[in-house]
Amino acid sequence: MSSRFHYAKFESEQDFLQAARSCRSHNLKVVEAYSPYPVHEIGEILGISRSKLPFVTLAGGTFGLGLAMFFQYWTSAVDWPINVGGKPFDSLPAFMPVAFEMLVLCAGLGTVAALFWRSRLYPGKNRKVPHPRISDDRFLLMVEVQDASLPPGFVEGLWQQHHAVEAWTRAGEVQ
Amino acid sequence: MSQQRSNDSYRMENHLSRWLSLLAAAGGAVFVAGLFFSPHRVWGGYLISMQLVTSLALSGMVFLALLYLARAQWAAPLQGVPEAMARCLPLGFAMGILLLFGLSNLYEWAHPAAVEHDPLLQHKSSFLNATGFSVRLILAFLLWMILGNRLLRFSKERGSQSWPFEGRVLRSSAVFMLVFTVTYSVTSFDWLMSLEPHWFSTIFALYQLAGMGVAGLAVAILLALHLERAGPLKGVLRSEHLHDLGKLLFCMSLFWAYLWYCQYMLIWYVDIPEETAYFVKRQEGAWWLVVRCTLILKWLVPFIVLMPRWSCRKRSVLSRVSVVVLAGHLLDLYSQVGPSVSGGVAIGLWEVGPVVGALAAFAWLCLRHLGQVSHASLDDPRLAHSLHYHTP
Repeated sequence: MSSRFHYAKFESEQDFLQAARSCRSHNLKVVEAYSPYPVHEIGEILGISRSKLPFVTLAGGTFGLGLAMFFQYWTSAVDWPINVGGKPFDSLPAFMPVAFEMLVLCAGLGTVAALFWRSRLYPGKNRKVPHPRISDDRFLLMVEVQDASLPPGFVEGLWQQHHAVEAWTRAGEVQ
Repeated sequence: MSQQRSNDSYRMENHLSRWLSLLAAAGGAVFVAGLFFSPHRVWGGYLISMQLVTSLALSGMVFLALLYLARAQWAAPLQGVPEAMARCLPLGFAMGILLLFGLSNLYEWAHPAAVEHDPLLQHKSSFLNATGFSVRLILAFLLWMILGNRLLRFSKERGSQSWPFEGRVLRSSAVFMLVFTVTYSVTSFDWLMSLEPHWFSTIFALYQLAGMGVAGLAVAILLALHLERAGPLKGVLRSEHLHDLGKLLFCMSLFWAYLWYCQYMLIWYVDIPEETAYFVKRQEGAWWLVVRCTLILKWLVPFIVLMPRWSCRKRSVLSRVSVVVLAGHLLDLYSQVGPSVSGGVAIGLWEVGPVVGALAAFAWLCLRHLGQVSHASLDDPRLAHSLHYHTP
């Protein structure tokens, strides 16, 4: 069954959010929403569940902490014990700064890696941008409608109602 | 909306007022009795309670100044809480004046006989002497109250169009913050660090500041939740507010632990006797247990419990963590004061009495002040944002 993609461009965040809300209330399938800056409400409106990214951060941090602790213990207390100022070989306070830095590093890198992997971003990826101004000052909604499931002009009417400044459609598969 | 908000003023319940004044009176009685039976220990407890009350009042003032400086709108309905805390500063002042009569029970440098045979104390005596201590204490309190009162007056102007982020509001806040930072550093040297007059730590003032922030936020959270239960903030206090307060508590506690570690680690690592003396005392016997408990209550518990988003937004969790953190703060103060006023760990009537009394007096005064301001007043231009903003 073929479908069409309806795009609408908005000038203000308010119109954009209202339009997204009405799409949801009319059971339209919003495929993508573009905005030049993070809009927290849009995730809630589109019914997107909360990101699991914090768990990746936690796992990365725990890994970094464990790795640094183990490695410092192993080097300074097991493999090559050196007496530093008469302190015990396995001196926890001395290991903490490095362990903390490793925690931050692994948590940060793990989060970025997970984000790239999840949103399929990789170097050299050719991303089709539906409109050049979505990274500047315009908001965009993209709705998928199965052919003949709605009266003609329904989506266009909805766009107009919410002050869309430009609307267009495209047939076929998602890019 | 106006009908809904008709009961936006707060009134302390009679039985609560009675209990708090009873506790405060009992604390005072214990203090007076302690002067005869165990003056060193009771003055130690008194110093803890005076530092606690002053810090709580000041943290209210700082919170207020920061809200103005950051042009914060989110906390508009909660603003009465830090204001009420700040209005308790005269209690700290009164306790500070009384402290001046107990210097010889607390501070080694206040004994002429001890100073006479100690070159280091002689050298420091141009700063550490009773007159200088008194002048600095009074001057600090006067500065805080004068500059703080200017901040507190602004909330009466709620509703006028230009308010709240006019230049003079920002200027007063900035001046207060600058003066506060310097004066609070000096008083933390005076009141707490000079308990060990041979010892010094350059990070000490910042450490006290972080501890103050932790305790102040915990009390602010408890007061906000109390206001919600008692009426004025019902339907106004949202999970977003709690989430933000919880995050602030989380990061202040983390900041405090960071500073604790910085102070400990550098002294431990460099290992100079004049610096390590402080921690050697606190690692002996039961003191090390007190220090460990402090770290667990003031850092580990909030760190783990407040990490997930949902727990910050849950009233029961947030209030319990606040109580735990407050207990940790008390232990923290005790681990700083205790070793220099009593040999071993002794948490008994003489320590608990003054602290409970001072906390009750603070709570009574604070709740009284909460009844005198209107919460979530509709003419506050920042209220709308505060009722609708989202915290990711």
